Amino acid sequence: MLTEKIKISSWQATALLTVNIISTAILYPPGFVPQLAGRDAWISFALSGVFGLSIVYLVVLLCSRYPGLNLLQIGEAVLGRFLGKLVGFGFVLFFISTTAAIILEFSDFMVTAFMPRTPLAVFNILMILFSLYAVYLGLEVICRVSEAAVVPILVFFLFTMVFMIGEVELPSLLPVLDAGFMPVLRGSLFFLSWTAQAFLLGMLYPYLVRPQQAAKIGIYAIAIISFYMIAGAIFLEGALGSGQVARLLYPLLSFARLIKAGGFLERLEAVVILIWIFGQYIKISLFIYFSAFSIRQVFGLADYRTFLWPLAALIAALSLTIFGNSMELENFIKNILSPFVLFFALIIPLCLFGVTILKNSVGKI
Amino acid sequence: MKNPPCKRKYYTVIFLVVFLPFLFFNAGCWDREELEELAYVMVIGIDYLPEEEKLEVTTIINHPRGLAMQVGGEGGGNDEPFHLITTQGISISTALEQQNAFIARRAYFGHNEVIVVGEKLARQGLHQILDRLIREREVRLGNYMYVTADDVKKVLRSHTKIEEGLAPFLSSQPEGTISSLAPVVDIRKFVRSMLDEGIEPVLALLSTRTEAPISPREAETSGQVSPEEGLEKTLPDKLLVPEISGAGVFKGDRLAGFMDIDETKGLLYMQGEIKNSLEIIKDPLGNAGYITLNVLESRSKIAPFFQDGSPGVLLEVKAKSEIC
Repeated sequence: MLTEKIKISSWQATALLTVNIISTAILYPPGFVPQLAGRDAWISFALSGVFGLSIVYLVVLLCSRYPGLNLLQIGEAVLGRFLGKLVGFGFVLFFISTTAAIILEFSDFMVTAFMPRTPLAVFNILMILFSLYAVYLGLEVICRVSEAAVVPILVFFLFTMVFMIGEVELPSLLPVLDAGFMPVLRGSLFFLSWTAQAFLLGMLYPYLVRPQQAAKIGIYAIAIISFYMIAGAIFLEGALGSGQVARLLYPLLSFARLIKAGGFLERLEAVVILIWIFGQYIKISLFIYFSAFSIRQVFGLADYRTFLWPLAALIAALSLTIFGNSMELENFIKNILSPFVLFFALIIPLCLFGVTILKNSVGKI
Repeated sequence: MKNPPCKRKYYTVIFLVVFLPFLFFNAGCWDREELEELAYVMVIGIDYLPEEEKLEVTTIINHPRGLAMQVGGEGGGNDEPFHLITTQGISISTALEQQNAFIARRAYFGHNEVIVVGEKLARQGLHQILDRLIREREVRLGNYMYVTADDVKKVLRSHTKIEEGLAPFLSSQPEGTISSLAPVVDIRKFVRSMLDEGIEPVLALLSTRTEAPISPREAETSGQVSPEEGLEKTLPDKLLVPEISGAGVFKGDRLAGFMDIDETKGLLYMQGEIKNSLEIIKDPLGNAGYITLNVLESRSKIAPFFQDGSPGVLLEVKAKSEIC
């Protein structure tokens, strides 16, 4: 099996994970988590950050036992050829279907928020084509693009918050945990489907220049994302109130449209959209890359570039047919995404880790 | 390195052929908007007609040609710089759809700044129209809201002479120096206090007043205006002037009642939102006369307590002011 010589620095990996998670985390969760947790949404985000850290820890622990292997290869090494391929095939399905969902998320956002008359297919196909170019160039290039994107994305979000700081009324965060702990927990489990995506570290692990820093990469990425989501939740609660936030489909967009800095700096949402699309582009590229990558791995092919076009066609078709309308997409994100991601991000690594330990202890006896 | 140069060229050609046509999509074929095909709505006024059970929607639309004529000063200046359209419909959307009978442009709400709500609609409840407005793609949550006890059409027809039309008057009011007359509330604040517990929305109350204009002759003799300007042309018989005259208090999304200017001021002191206000006190040394204080900012502290089984509130207001 061919392994390309990909080298990813720790900073690049951090940037990649951060951009990857935050680019879609800012679309739905700021509205959905307050629907579940009310004004305690920020606690939910903090909690799922902690859960995300445990997933990072698990994945790093697993990968450090098999240096040079990624999550799929570890699956084959631990479970044997047949079961390993089966798990790998599961990952293929996971990556392809989430890619389709992410692309639809992006185009649905564009259509609902800005261009109602434009067909979804235009956004889907354009995005896939441009992502394909990045995928064609490889993982290193995607990493470098995200390295360039992470700073503007993060700085601009800070800016939007700074401009609105005068409108934030912190007392509206009180009382804390008014409705008990269960709503907060449910909110955090919902957002866990984003922080759990830090398990992609297990796919990047063999290419890290300094694998010993893998845990640090995951911690930094989760810390940045949690910081932004918690700050965002506090700002949204303070400026709009959880009742209103829960009624808005894209609260951060409405928030950005409120900015009136100094009476002249208005209508900043165009910049916000520019930067969101940039982030989503990286995320979609990365997920198409992993789809192709896992197919190559499972079927033992030489180069993923050979089947990129058919794969892209498959993803484009899926992204148009997988959900009938935006309510179905929302329903999927609300109810199904969390267990779906957790199965691949938590349960499979956990099983692999358990079997590894079992094997080792049996081997010792 | 990997590809020989000729192969590279081949890829470039493929790239150009496949990707360049997509540049056409940059124009946004389906959702393109031409500036001159849009009607820029500045103010939306909404009221309820109980007999017809319909909403009456009045919009003030910017009229660029009229504005240009006023500024340029050429041509008779018959065109007002804005245009009012009133239509009716069961919902806002259907009422707005009717407006297409009068203008051949698509109404664009991205530049809308003010929403004026009539008393009859406010007493019915604003839930439905707010739901429409916060889901709207173009209307911003930062639009200022006013309630009026007058006829909405009449209020929207009023205008001050300093600002061009009602929209600048109402949208600069919150940032102006007299902001402390009435609460500054945008859609965001309204919906927030409507949905949050422990706080109910308040809107600034807008009313109109007719003023007899200074007669051309009077104006001439007072020396304010030179006789050549021909005031007869521009001055109407009676000027309809907008006026901020208090606040409308809501319970949930329904209007409960009105407060006058003094009561509103008291409310603003309680909320600590006074930013500019004049207060007159008697001379504390017992001399005759008054002292005028210019309040620059105020802060309030509300401490609830229980006394003899009934709740009360201890209100502490601290204000920074200068003597003037």
